Amino acid sequence: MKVRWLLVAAILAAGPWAQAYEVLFEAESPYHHIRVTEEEGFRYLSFDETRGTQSAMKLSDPTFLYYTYTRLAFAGLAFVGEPKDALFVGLGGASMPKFFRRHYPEANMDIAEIDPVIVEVAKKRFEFAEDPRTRVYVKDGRVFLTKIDKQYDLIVLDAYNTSSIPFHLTTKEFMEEVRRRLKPTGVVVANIWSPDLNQYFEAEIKTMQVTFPELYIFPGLSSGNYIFVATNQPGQIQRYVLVERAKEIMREKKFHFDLADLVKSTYQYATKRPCRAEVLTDNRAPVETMRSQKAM
Amino acid sequence: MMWRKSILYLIVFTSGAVVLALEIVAGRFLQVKFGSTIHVWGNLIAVFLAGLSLGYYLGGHLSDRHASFTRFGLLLLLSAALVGSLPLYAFSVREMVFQRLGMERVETIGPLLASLGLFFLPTIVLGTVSPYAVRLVADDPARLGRQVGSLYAFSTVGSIVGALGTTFYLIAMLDTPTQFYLFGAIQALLALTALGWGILVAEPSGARSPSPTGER
Repeated sequence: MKVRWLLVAAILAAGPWAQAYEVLFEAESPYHHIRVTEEEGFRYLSFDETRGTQSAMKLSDPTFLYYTYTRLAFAGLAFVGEPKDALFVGLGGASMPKFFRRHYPEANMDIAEIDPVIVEVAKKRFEFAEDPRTRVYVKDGRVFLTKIDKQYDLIVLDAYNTSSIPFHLTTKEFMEEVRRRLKPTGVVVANIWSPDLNQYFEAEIKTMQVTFPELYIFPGLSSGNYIFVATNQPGQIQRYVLVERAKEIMREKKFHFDLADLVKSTYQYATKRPCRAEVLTDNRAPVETMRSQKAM
Repeated sequence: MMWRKSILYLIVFTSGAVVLALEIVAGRFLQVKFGSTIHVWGNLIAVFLAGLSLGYYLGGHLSDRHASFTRFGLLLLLSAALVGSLPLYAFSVREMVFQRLGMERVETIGPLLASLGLFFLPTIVLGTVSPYAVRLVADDPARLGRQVGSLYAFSTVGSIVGALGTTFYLIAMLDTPTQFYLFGAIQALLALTALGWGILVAEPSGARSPSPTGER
């Protein structure tokens, strides 16, 4: 009997050390419960109670893009070429901004992040830093976009990841504002997280179809992320053209992953994709409800 | 009289629902322009509470002067007009506030100005409903406490229904202007009920106010 109790006590005592990961930082911001953990050479950023992580950083290479969807997001580069002005809405763990800064040192990068604690965490724990060409604005993404008097080659919308989607960043009116901030040859890249295909996913596609002349979807496959790319210019760019451009970019910039292969395997031309959903508008965008409805 | 009290409880319950429903819709309405920052909700809640407090105060004063169903109906009609007319000017006010403020202050001051400009007056009038109903329902000083308590409980339960109903149904079913019209229509129906009772039953004004010693 005694041995059994000793065993139980030993297992319980060893519990905290049995965890493979270490919690480096945990805090409550006005918007999220933020947690930074470290495990086997990677540092992770998580929000709220969900086990899923927002962002992952390789300790030995902070600009390494771990999640497939973050690599796919840069398929947008194959549409734009050499971006001079980029905007990131949503900072997270800053994986994409860091990667972008490394490979495009001359480009100007603006980042709009609503949560000041996220910015602090990115700087203190995820090796992110502002510089003369990188500026963070602690602002709501839509407020920033509508107030800033600038045009961008590349706008990356990465504010949809968390469990609750800010509906005002999903609507037709917002997408029209985004389009207004694009240079003639600019593109918008949106990371839409949709682990199960739901009515919101369809509605977002429809919304972007009516706002932009062309839409492409690159599914992130396993992660449930979908990269939407919409262009300011009409005219479909064929898969093989994008793949060729991606190859050139890879060669020149020496990316650590095969962008051309990713583009080739996930390219979906979605401009004419049939969509049984209503356009999301500022006056009606019940995204939370739509997320729990199966896609029609 | 059962009907009389039931009407008052109904009015108080429904107005309570409308207050919360309006608040939730107002929050989403402001979020469109001012973002999903904490400032939107903080300012909105503050403005609603300020409006309600002022409404409670004014409602109490008005009812002491002259408590009648007819006047109650007119107050409710005013609330219907203020809420139902929102779609006519709320969008331009929101836009104007947004345009006038620069990036530095639009997130913090914008929601405050817009909330004050759009929702302060309607909530004041909505706030008069409960204390006015108290005056109309009170007919027995010995039971005043529980009558007031019951009315306020009904009002708050109405608020729960309004909050949940809006979140789970209204937002998905209707667009913002229609929601404002709906709330105005609901208040108008309450107004007609009170006015109807006031005119048909023709209570002399102030007839039901109990004397301090409980004598009739």
